[in-house]
Amino acid sequence: MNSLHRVLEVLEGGMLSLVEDGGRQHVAHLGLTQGGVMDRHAWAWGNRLLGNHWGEAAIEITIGGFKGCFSQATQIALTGADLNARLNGQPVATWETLTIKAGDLLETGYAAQGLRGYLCVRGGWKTPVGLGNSRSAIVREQLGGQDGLGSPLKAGDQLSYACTRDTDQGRPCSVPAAFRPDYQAPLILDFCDNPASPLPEQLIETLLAQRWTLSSRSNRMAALLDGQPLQVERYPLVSSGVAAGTVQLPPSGQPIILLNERQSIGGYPQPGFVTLRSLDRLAQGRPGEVIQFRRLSLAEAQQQERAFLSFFQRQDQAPIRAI
Amino acid sequence: MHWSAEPAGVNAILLRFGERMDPALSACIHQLGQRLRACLGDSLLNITPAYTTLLLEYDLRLEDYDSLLARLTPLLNHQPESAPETRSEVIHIPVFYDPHTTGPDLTALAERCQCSVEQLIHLHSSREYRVYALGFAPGFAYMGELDSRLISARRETPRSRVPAGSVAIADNQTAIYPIESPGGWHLLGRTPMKLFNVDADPPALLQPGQAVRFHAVDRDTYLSLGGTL
Repeated sequence: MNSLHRVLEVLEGGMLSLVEDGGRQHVAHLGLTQGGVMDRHAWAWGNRLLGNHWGEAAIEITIGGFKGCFSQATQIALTGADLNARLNGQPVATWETLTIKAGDLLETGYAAQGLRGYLCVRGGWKTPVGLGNSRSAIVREQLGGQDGLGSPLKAGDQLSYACTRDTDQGRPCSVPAAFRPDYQAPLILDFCDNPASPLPEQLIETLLAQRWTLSSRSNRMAALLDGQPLQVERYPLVSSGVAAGTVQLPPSGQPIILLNERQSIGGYPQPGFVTLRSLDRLAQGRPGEVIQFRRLSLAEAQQQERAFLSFFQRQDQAPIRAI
Repeated sequence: MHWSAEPAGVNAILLRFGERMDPALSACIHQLGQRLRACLGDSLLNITPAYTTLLLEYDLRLEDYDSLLARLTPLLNHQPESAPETRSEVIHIPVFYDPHTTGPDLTALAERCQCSVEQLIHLHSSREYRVYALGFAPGFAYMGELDSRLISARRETPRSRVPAGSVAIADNQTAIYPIESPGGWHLLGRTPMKLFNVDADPPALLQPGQAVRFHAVDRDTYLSLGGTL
């Protein structure tokens, strides 16, 4: 039995490629952000296809331009935005398992629809685990990721993957069509009211009735929306902790939706919040795309989120359709 | 302590304990957060104490909003009568205040406050502050309150790069930038102390309720303590 050195050698990092997992826990009180994959739907399916446990790290490739070489055989899956990837020059499918041989070259093109693709590997990427029991890279905080400094992947980086026997390939699997999102469908975000919001009801109605566009200034901290500005009074609010999905209305009247890398506390008035399932879809939204809100009750939103978590976190994962 | 609760996310509940910033309240909230963490265990994913609030993010597989609120209610209604003594050691922060290098806003700020740079440094370093909350960046502690003569709004245009260790003020608060980051606060000086250390436990030097004092040091002392210019 020879000890195999299993690494993906990065040849090109692309626009923004990051090692991400489910994000950190129990660190917000230290001023640290949460981080983690922006689209949990695509990430969770990638891991599920490969028989990985919930929470294994993936490479989140934004837009594309990523290139890497596998040192040893394994199995991978590409989910989320179709980055027009090629394996040794041959186009490969997304949302299904791909067999990798030693020396295989994976190269992505660029997303025509959606924004972020996920590269999962059998057993997960074994980069260092940092604060909050997470491997997630946080560029702004200079923490996490393959170098512990939050750096995006770049040429020369080597990412270890789990040691499985060559014979232990896993059977080919594919995500049923019903679970593959259509990134060209209208982007509609489920919104829950915060009953304690200081904002007048009329203002919230306008927020929900209006069409917004996703600003190109959006990033992993926040989605900024452009549109007819809302008339927001100044509220002398004391900053408080803010959760993912929080909608904030700054004095500019242009809504902000807080995402995984939000600052841990914030002080703008909040009409309510967007569901985490909607954030998964928003992660694939492209600048200029139209965004609309629709109301959902908290009970329904919680049920929806719980259904998602229990589907992917069941110990005995139901078999999925073999190709 | 009077409280109210509201949903603040699909898996988040915000507890409010008042409307006014008060270091004693911050310390109580911080301690309550630790107590809730011990009582609620795995149900909680994150606890974020701030000036007047506690944000609890919870595991939806174990709790929903109503069940968590039902568990929280007796805990919040039966809090210890008086807050445990918060008297902690004062943390002393050496600062090199220098209008030419570490404190590029000292001169303009002194002008606006109608005092000399020396007086301004004295006003900033002659009182004890308390940490209200951590946020913005790893280990970034909001501290108050400033001498009323030093209160001034943030810079019109934030700097895109504020060096790590920068000691700054804005509104009625003071803070130290733990890592290089963008920032809109007025820069008075810089400390060689490390505010955030991944390998330390806890990694953040300052905690809510902590007492802090700044001490002016000269250039040589600053450099000998590991400061950079």
